[in-house]
Amino acid sequence: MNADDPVIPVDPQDPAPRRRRNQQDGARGGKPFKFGQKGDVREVAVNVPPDEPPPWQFGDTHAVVGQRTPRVDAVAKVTGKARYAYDMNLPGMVWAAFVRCPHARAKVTAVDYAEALKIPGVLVAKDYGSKEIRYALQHFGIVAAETHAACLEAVRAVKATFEVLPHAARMDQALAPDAPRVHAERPNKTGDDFRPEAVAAFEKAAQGCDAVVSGIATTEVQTHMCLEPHGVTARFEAPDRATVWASTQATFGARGEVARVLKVPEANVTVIAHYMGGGFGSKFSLGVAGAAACTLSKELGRPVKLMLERRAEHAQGGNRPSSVQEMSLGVKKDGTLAAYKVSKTGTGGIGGGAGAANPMIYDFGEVAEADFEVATNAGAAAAMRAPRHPQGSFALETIMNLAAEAIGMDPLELRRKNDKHPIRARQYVEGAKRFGWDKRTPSGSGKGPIKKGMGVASSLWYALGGRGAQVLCRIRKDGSVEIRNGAQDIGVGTKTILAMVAAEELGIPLSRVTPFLGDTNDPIGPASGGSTTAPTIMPAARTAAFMAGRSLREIVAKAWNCGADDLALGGGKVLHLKDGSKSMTFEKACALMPGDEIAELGKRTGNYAAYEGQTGGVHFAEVEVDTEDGTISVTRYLALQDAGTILNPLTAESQVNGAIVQGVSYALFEERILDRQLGQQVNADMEMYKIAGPKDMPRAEVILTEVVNGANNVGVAGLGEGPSVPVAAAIAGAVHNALGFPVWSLPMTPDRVLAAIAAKEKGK
Amino acid sequence: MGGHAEEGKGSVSRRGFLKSAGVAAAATSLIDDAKKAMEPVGPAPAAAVRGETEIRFKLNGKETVAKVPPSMTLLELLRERLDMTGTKQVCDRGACGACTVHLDGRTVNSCLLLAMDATGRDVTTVEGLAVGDRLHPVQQGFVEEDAMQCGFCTPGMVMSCAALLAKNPAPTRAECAEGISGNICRCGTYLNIFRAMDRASALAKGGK
Amino acid sequence: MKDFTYVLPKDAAEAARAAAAPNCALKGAGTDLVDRMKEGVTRPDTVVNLLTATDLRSPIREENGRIVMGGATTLAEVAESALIRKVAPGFADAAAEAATPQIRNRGTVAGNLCQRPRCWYFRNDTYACSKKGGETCYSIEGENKYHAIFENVTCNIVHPSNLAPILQVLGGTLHVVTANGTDVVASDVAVKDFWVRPEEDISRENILVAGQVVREVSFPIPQGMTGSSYVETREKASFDWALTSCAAALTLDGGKIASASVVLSSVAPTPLQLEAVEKWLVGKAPSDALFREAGTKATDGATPMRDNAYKITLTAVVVRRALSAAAARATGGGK
Ligand SMILES: Cc1cc2nc3c(=O)[nH]c(=O)nc-3n(C[C@H](O)[C@H](O)[C@H](O)COP(=O)(O)OP(=O)(O)OC[C@H]3O[C@@H](n4cnc5c(N)ncnc54)[C@H](O)[C@@H]3O)c2cc1C
Ligand code: SF4
Ligand code: FES
Ligand code: FES
Repeated sequence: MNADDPVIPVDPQDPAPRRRRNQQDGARGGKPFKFGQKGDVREVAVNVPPDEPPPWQFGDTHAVVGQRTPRVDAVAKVTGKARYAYDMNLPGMVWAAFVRCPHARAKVTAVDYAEALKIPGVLVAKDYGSKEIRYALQHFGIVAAETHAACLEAVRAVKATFEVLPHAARMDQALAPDAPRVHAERPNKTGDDFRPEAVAAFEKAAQGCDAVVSGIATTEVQTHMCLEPHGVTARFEAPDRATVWASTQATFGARGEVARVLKVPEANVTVIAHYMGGGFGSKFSLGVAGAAACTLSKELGRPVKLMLERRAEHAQGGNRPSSVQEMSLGVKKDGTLAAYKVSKTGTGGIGGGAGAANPMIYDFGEVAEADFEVATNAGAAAAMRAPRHPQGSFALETIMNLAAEAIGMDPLELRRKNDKHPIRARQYVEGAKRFGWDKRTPSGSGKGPIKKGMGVASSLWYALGGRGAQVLCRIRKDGSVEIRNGAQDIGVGTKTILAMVAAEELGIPLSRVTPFLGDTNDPIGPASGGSTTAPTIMPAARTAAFMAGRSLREIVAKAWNCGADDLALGGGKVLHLKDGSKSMTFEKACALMPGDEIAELGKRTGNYAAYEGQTGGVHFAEVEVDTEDGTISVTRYLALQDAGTILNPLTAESQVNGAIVQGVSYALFEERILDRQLGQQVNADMEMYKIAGPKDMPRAEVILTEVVNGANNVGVAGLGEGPSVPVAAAIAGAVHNALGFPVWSLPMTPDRVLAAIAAKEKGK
Repeated sequence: MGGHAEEGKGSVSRRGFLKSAGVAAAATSLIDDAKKAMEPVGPAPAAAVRGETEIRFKLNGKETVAKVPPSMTLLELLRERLDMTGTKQVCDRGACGACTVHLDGRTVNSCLLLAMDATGRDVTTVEGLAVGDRLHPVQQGFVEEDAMQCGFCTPGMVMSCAALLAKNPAPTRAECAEGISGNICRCGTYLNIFRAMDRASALAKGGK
Repeated sequence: MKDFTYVLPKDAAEAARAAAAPNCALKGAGTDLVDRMKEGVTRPDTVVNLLTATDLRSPIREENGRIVMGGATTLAEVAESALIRKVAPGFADAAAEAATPQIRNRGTVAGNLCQRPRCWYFRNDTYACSKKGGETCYSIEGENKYHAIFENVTCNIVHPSNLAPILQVLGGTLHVVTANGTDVVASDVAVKDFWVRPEEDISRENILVAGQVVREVSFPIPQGMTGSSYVETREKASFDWALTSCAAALTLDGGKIASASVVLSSVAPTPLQLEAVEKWLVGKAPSDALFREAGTKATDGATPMRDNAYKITLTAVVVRRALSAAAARATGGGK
C-alpha cells in the first residue's frame, strides 16, 4: 500500500467529510463521459487513471452486471454449511463468558470465585475489566470452561458484592436536578445550544410566514439485536501468531486490534469473517468479547470462543440512541419553507453519539439548531444503519406533514416544491403514480373504527465510497479466475457482485469466477459502514480484472502479432476488433500463458466528479389504524431508491426490503425498556423486546431508480443506509393521514396510539 | 402507583373459598367424589437417569447414538458435540426460531428440547434436507428469490418453511406468514421468503 | 442449567409418586420449565418427564358428553382437532393463537395452564421479588406496562395462559392424580377453582402441590345454541403475548341470551370470571350496543398502574369482540 494512498478509516457516524476528501481534484484535461439518468444525462470530465478502465456510462449495456443473480454463497447458507464465528469448533477449544454486574452504577467490592472454580471443567474464573460499574450488565470478571454449559454455571456460581451507587440509567433520571453524574468530568447534558443570531434570523423569517407549526417528536432506544451476537473464536498460535474468526464488519480493523491486544505484528494476525450474522453498524471493532477471547487464548494456549449471551447483547451490543426533537417550521401559502428551528436531545448511554440528523433534504430557509447529548448509565450506542437519520427523518417529515396541512397543500406537493434533487424529483412523480397517491383521502376523513392513510417520506445518503481498497485478480492457466479482497460480506451480497464485476470485465460467465472475501490475508478493504463497501471495493475489482485482462490480451496479441488494444474480451472469447475472423476462447488464451497465472492488484482511486454527490429515494406507505385497539398495520409500501449502477437487482432489492422490514419494526414495536430502579433492561430478550415478524409485513414493492452516477468506474453507490432513512417517517405520515393528527412518538405501540387518540378527543 | 383492588368491589368475582398452601390441605380439597385408589401398594419407582446417558435417535435418517447429561438440550448436542452447526443458537429461549429442527416431521425449538426427549424420535436438521446435491424445493426457492441476507436465521426459516410445505403444498402468503411466525429475521428477509415459498411450492409440484 | 436427575415415569401415578421428591419439577414439553431453568429462576434437583407417562397422552375424544384429552396433548393437536373445532371453536382459536408454531408443536395443555408468569422481574434471576420469596414487588415502582390492572395488590402478574380463560368459560375440569406416600388418588378440580391469587399464596398460581399431576383435561360439550370464542389484543401480529384477552360462551334462546360465561385474562394474576357482566347479559337480546356496554362494565373496578391504563380501553374492546364472536357463532347454528 502506498503512503500516498492511505486507507481513510470509516467513520460511520459521519461519512460526509470523507466524501469530499476523496473527490478527484478537478478533471482538467479529462475526457468527457455521460453520467446521469433518463431525461437528465450530463457530460462530466474525468481523468481516467492510467491502470483503470474508462467508467461505465449512461446507456452502456452489460452481460453479467444488472442480471438478477442468486448470491454465490446462497447454497452454503440454505444448507447450514456456512460457518460463522459462533460455529467454530476447534480442537481443544474452550468456552468463555463474562461475569456481569446487575446494577447500573456500582463498585465491585469483593468477588469470590471459589465455587465457580470447583465446577468440573472450569479452567478460569477471575477478575476482568473495571470494578467501576457504569451500566447494568457491565462485566467485571471472566470464566472459561471446557463446555458452554459449565461456563454458564460457573458465571452463576461467582459470588460478588457491590456497593450500589445512585444511577441515572434513563434520560429522565439523568436530567433530574439532583442526578448523579455519569461522567465525573462533565455534566450529564452537554452539547450546542442555539446560536442567538440563528434564532433571530429564524424568528424574523417566521414572521414572514403564513403558518408556523410546531411539535415535539420522541423516539426510543433501539438495540441492534444481530442474530449472531458479538464475539469471536480466537486461536493464539505460539509464539507470535493468531487466527481469529470474528463476527465483524471490519476484518482489517479487527486485525489491528488483535495485534495490539496480543502485542504481535499485524502481519502475524489473520482475521476471518467468511460469514457473519448481522452487524447493522454495531460490529466495527473487535469488541470487549473479542479482546478478552484473544487474551485468554494466549494465556491458556488453547482456542477460546466468547460470544455475548443474548441479554448482554442488548446491553453491550450497541444501540440506536433515543431522541426528543422540538421543532418549529414556518411555511408560506405557496409552500415555500422559510424558517426551521429544532432542538434535539438524546441519549447514547455511556458512550455518546446521540443526536438526530434531520436529513437536509428540503430547503428550509433560515435554520436554527440546538443539539444536546445526555449521558446515562446505560449501554453505549453504536452506529446503526443510517445513524441518526431515521429518528431525524421521523421528526422532520412529521412537521412537514403538519406544515402541508396548515396551508392546505398536498404533502407530496410540498416536498416536491422544496426538494431540488434531480433523482428524487423524478421519484416523486413516478412513485405517486405507481402508488395511487391520488386516491389518498383527506387527513382524518375516514369513517368507522379502522382508518386508512397514506404517507410519503424522502431519503438521501452521502457516501459514494472512496480510497481504501485493493483487489487481487488472478487468472489461472486453466481459465479459472479468482477475485480477492479481505473485507467482509455482512450479508448484503458483496461476494456476488465482486464476482459479477470481474466476470463482466473479463467477458466470461459468472460461473468461471470464484470470489473471496472475509480473510485478512487478502488485500485491504474497507469496514462495512456508511454504505461504502460496494462503492469502495467494486471499482478496484473492476480495475484488477481490467489489468489482468489486459495482461491476457497482451499474451494473445503476441501470438497474433497485433497490439493488445486491437483485442477485446467478451462472450467468453478474445476478439480481434479489426479482424472478425480472429477469435480465441478465453481458456485457449489462458493456456498460452507463459507462467501459471496472471495476478494483478487493482487499486481504488479517488472519486470522480459525480452526477450527484448524494443518492436519493422516495418512499410511500399505506396503513390501517385500528382506533379501538390502537394497532397499526402497514398494508402497502413502495420504495423508489437510487444506488447508482445496480450491479445485482436481486440482492439490491433485498437490501431495500430489509430496510423496509427494519423500519416497520422501528416504527411500530422496538423499545429498550430500562427498569428505573436497577437500571437494567427488563425486556432484554427477543420476546418482550419486540421485533417485527412476518405477519407484520406490508405488501411491498421496490423500484430501483436507474442512475449512472459516475463517481467511480463502476458507478455504484451503497444501499445500506439510504433506504433505512425514511421508513418510519413514511409510516408515521400514513398514520397521521389516517387519524387526522400525528402520533408524535415512536414506537407507535397501542398504548401510544390510544393515548394520542384520547388526547385529541379531550382537546375537542 | 398501582391502585389496590378491594375485596368484593366491582364486577370482578371472587371465588368463595380461600385455598391454603401445603400438601395436606390442597390434597384434601381435591379429593372429592371421584376419589379412587389408582394403584395397589408398593409399586416400583419410575426409571430415572443422572449424568451422561446414552440416547439413540434418528438424525437426518441415520441411527445416532450419543451420550448426554439430562440437562443438555438437543441444540447443544447438535452444535457442541456433533459439530452440526447449521442449526443456530440465538435467543436460546424459544422466541426466535433460529434453532428450529423437525421432530418427527414437526418443527420444534431445539433450544428448549432436552436431548433425551429426542430418544427414539426422528430428528431432521437443515443439514439433512437436501438429497445429495439436490436442494429441497424450499432451499431452491430461497436461493432463487434471495430469501437470505446474513443467513443466520436462514436455517431455521428453511426448516419452518419445509414443514409448512409438507403440510400445505400451496400456502397463501398469510399461511406462509403464520408458518414462519415463530422465526425472527433481523436483516428483514420475510418479503423474500414469501416469494421463495411461492417458488418452492411450484418446484415441489414438479415445476422445474 | 444445573444438572438433575431425570425421571421417566410410565404413567401419571408413577409421575405423581416421583414428583413428591424434594426440589422436584414436573416437565411436560419443557417449553416453560427449560426456559426458567436456563434463566436460573428454577433449579430443580429432580425433573419428572411427563411425556413418558402414556396416560397423559390419551387422545382428544368424546366421552359421556364431554371432550376429554390427556394433559400432555399439544397445543397444535388442540388447534388442529376437527372435533374441538366443531364443538368449541373458541378453544381451538385460543390454542392456535398461542405462542409460535414451534412452541405449539411441543407445548402441552397442562403445561400451558400451569406455566409460570412472564413478569420480567420474575423471569430475571437478578430480582428476588416477592413471588420468589423476596420482599418487594418490583413492578409497583418499576416497569409495569404489561402488568395487571385488576387485583394488583401484592403481586401484579397477569395470567399468561391462552387456554385458561376459554377452558374456564367452557366449564372445564382438570383430572388430577395425587401421590400420598405410595398411594395415588385421583380427583377432579374445576378450572375456575384451580387458580390461587397472590394474596392466598404469592409463591404459586394454582392449587397444585408437590406430588400432584394433571393427568387429563375435559369440558362438557356445549349444548343448544351456544357459541364460544377467544379473542386477544396484542402489539405484534406475529407471535406476541396478549395485552388483554377474553373468552366467552353465550347460549341463545328465542333471540335472547339464556346464559353467559365471560372470563377476562391477561389483566390480573388469575383469569377473572365476570359474574356481574354475565348476570347483566342474561335475558337481553344480543346486539353490538349491548356488547359495547358489557365491555365498559367489564372495566369496573380496574386499578391501573403508572404505565398500563391503556389496558382498560383494551379490556372493553376485547370483551366486546369476544361477546360478538360468541354470539355470531351461537346464531350461526352454534359453537
Ligand atoms: C416464545 C414463547 C411464546 C409464548 N407465547 C404464549 C402465548 O402467547 N400464550 C400462551 O398461552 N402461552 C405462550 N407461551 C407458553 C407456552 O404455551 C407454554 O410454555 C407451554 O404451553 C407449556 O407447555 P409445556 O408442556 O412445555 O410445559 P412445561 O414447560 O413442561 O411446564 C410448564 C409448567 O407446568 C407444569 N406442568 C406441566 N405439565 C403438568 C402436568 N401435567 N401436571 C401438573 N403440572 C404440569 C410444570 O411443572 C411447569 O411448572 C409461550 C412460550 C414461549 C417460549
Ligand atoms: S409482579 Fe409478582 S412476579 Fe412480578 S415482580 Fe411483582 S411479585 Fe414478582
Ligand atoms: S435459539 Fe431457540 S428459539 Fe431462539
Ligand atoms: S438473514 Fe440475517 S437474520 Fe435473517
